[in-house]
Amino acid sequence: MKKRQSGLQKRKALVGYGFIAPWIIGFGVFCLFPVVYSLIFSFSEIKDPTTFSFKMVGLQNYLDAFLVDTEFLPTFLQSIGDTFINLILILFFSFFIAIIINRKIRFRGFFRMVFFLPVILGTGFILDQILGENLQEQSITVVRDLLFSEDVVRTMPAEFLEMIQELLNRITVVLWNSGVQILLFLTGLQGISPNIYEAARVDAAGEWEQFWLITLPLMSPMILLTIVYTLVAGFTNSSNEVLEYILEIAFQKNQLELSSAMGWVYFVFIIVFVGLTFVLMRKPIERASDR
Amino acid sequence: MSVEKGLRIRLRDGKIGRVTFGKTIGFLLLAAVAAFMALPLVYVVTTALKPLNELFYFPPRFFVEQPTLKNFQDLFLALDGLDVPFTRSVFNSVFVTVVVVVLVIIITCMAAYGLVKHKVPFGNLIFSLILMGMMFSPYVIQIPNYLIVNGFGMVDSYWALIIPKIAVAYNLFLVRQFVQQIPDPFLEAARIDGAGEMSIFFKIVMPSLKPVIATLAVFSFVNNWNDYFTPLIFIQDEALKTLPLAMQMISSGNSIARAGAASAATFIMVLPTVLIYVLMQKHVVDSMAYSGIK
Repeated sequence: MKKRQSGLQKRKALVGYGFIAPWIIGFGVFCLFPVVYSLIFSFSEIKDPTTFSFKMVGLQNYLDAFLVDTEFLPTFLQSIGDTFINLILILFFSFFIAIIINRKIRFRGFFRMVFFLPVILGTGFILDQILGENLQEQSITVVRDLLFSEDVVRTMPAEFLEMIQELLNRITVVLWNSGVQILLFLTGLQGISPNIYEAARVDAAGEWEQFWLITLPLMSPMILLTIVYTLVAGFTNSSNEVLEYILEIAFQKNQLELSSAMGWVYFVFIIVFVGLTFVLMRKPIERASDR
Repeated sequence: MSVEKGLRIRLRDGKIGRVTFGKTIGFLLLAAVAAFMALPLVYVVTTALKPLNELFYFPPRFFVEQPTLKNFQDLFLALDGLDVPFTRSVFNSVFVTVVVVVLVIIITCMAAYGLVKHKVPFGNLIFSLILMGMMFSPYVIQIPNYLIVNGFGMVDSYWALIIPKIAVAYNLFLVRQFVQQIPDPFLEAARIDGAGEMSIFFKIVMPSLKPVIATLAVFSFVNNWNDYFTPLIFIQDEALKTLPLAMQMISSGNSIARAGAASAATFIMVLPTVLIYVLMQKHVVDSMAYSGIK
């Protein structure tokens, strides 16, 4: 009996592999393999750029990245700090917006559409090319013209105006990077059965209590997913300063080995950071959503 | 019992609705932010309709004074200096993107289903590999990737734009979350009724994944439609270039007449992404409502 069971399981596993195979092959060849390739580059020196023949040089490229290159480390730290601040702002903003949209508000379909627009317009890469000017900056300009008339500029201290300008920039970044997060939160909110809220209302729970005792615990798996998504999106965004720098090293300075080493430093950091977030938060979140 | 607050109003469909203070504030806030975010899109539309002299106003004006369709005419008929007609780039983009989206949906859902519902050995290892793959920026591995695609002889063909883009780690991560929500008894019941694995997948798994498939379709459509980097590296043949590259060529041409064509091209570039989103978004909502999962 037991043997037959395991035979059945084996068959099931085989079928499972059949389903996974096309994806795994694609992933292995076009993601994993290039990643390993770049790991080898990071430990080597390319002898001949036409054939990519190389010789191993140990940790030399990694030492260069930290000791010789004076720009890498500051750019790296700056970008991490930025991503973290954006993460917090994006989470609060998108959760807030998703909750408002999820209520039976007028034109909710329209709002849902508008907040996803930045994702659809892309990162602005294409549109930049055409308009010759960053779209985000254009939105800022319109608002700034509205807010800062000449009188305001004359009466306010310059530092204060700079602060507001900084704040506006930050808000724009947050707005333009919250599309997916709002959608994820909305998907989660719509997955919560109205019956639960109905039952809570019968038990005389107010809106505030419903939020803390129902919405938040039931949404916590979605919040974790959104945190992971936002971190990864922030770290791997093409407009990320570290990545821009790494690409510059590779394509403009033609130091493929050094850029591979930097890419790996960055990659290991992201894995450790996101992995820790995931591991540390999973248990409490599972407990919260099981209640 | 809670007391209903707010003003009673009669909605258009005859039902009684309530306007509360909180809702009104929320509405105004949404409207303000939405207006701010819709600006670029409105700008794309108004710019596409501007006649040449208005395009060169300084400082630029946001709205168009004398709308015209001449820019589109220039783009499709009179664009000189391009070896390949603009319509060919449109075809390339549509073809590549549609093929990628279809393959992404089928292959990703298959993989997620196999991974979650078949308890394969090393499933956890595969999942951690996927998680790691999500964090390695594709931009960093462009050169090794080129070497591999070149090794397969796929450079300068549609294949280079399709095959490497099918297995995306993030997509599998997303779909996996939803496959986990399909109740096992559903699948077991079908198996007992004698359904084959393929028919279980296409008749039970895929339909119950509709919401996430719509989401997946939107994501991968947008990503591939807007992708500038991949064709830049893999495609040299003018006849195979996709819209983003064609647009770059149009806008980099220095003749003044090109400015109008470029603004029309931007509009055409943005239109399908907005359309597919508007279409799919309804689908997402509908299937969320009908799905018996939760």
